[in-house]
Amino acid sequence: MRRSNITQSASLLLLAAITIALPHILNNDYWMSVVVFMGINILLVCGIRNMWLVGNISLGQVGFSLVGAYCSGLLAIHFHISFWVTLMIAGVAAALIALVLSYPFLKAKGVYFAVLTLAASETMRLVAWHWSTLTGGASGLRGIPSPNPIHLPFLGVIDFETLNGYYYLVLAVLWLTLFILYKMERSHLGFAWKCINDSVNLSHSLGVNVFVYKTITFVSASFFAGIAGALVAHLQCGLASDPSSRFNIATSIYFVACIIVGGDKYFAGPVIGTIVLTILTELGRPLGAYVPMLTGGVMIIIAIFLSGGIVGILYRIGSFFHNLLILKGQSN
Amino acid sequence: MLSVTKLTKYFGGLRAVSDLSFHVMKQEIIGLIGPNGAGKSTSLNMIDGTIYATEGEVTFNEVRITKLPPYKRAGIGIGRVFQRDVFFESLTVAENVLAGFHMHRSKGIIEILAKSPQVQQNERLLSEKVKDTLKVVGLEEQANEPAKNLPHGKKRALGLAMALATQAQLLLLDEPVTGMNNVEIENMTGIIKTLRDERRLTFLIVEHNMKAVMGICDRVVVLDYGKKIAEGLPKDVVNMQVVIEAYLGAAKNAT
Repeated sequence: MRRSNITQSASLLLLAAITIALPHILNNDYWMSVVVFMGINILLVCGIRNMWLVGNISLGQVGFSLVGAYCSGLLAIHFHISFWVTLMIAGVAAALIALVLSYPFLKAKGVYFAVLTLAASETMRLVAWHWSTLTGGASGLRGIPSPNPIHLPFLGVIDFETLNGYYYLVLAVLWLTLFILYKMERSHLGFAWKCINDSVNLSHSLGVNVFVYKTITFVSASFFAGIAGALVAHLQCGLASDPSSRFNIATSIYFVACIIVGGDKYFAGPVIGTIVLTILTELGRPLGAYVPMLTGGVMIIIAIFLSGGIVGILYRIGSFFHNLLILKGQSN
Repeated sequence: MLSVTKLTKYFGGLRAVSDLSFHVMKQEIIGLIGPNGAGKSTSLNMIDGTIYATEGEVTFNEVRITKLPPYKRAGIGIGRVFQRDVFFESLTVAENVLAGFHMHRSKGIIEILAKSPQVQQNERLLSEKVKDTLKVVGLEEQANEPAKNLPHGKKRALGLAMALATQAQLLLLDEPVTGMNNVEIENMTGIIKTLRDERRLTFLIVEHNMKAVMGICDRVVVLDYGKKIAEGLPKDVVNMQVVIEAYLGAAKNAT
């Protein structure tokens, strides 16, 4: 046990070091922007996977990040509120909407929950698109300020108008969020989720208030979606909600693909899945309009042949070598 | 302890249970028997809250619980061992029993991030309780095995352990000895009797196995087509004309 703790901490430190040094390793603005958007996507995908763990597939998280994005952007533009405050307000606003929707939505059985979340998210996008006076409608919301620079004594200024600066912002939020989500999954909360996913009836008979637990997952996933949206708003310094924007159905389905490709049973699954699909999408750019076939094809292959996703495969490879080493050790 | 009055359940036009009334006194072991489809599981479902009665009342310890949600019924002392979802497939034996103790665990928000010494102490006590509960049903050696690897007889024992963990006073068992061989049946009935005597628990058992029912039940309620057709001591009920016809009728229809 102790050995695995050491390897765990060591790999985490290595990962932290790589992520911190990444801008200097890549040294490429285009790829940095890809990485920043990927980091924001990971926030959303992890939230969706949390809901997956309780047995509800939400196709509406983009709607919540849209709410968060416009919330943060509009407050910043009209009331000049600091980014750090609007970021939190964005998350809370999205969470509140999720709370209101949770009562009717979570009562829906099976597929209908997914359909309802899809409808909700499209509704939110359409409202944003058509409410031109508030959101700028089809021409979009412009002029969202970047976060104010932070002055650190002795270390100088962290400026968020540069891509690298914004990258570190997203990185910090991501590490913090992943930490919280990991703790949630390992706690009594995650334990209850496993039970609920297995059998709702049995959970009820053991005194578990299934509805409350599902609501907690839904609201917390939407909170992080709202924050992700705010991060997008202040990165792009503008927002659009037309059908081809990032807040549409295609993105929701892309997120589901990320979870399947990475492996929904593992905490690292959505992270790895998003990274893999992002790289695949970028490398497949020459294919132009055929890129979705590539990502879709990968998703289908993994769903059929490699259940457990990429992280599942890595685990199996790892335990294969582990067993190999044990056997070798015994024969020595 | 438990009182069921004129309990009725309609599924659309189908009357699954009609006008069912009976009592269960504390520390009694009551059997609920009848041919297949008689409405026994539906009746249990209405008592533990899995479904709500269309008409009638369920009273537990003088409190009307007819419309109480199922997770709250667990909180007032009603435990259920299901026929099919007996345990959580993705957990180990010990984890399953721990799930049974869920209601008695500290569940604060702070605990999610870090456990205080007080909470760690409680968790240690809890794992002791888990071990004790496993001992009662004879599963302590399999504590860390995946629950789905248990032999069939032990699976029902696990379900019983989980219901015990909730500190239930009334246990509703749905076909607890189905599929067991004679040794396992003796084991299970022995455990139930011990629990009734030593822990003063009350049991309402749905069962098909007549030998087990005769051996363990104080009283028996017989259902047929959703109605109660007989009630009394097992040895009396088994000889009643009405009951024999109900079972024969079912056998005739089956052939």
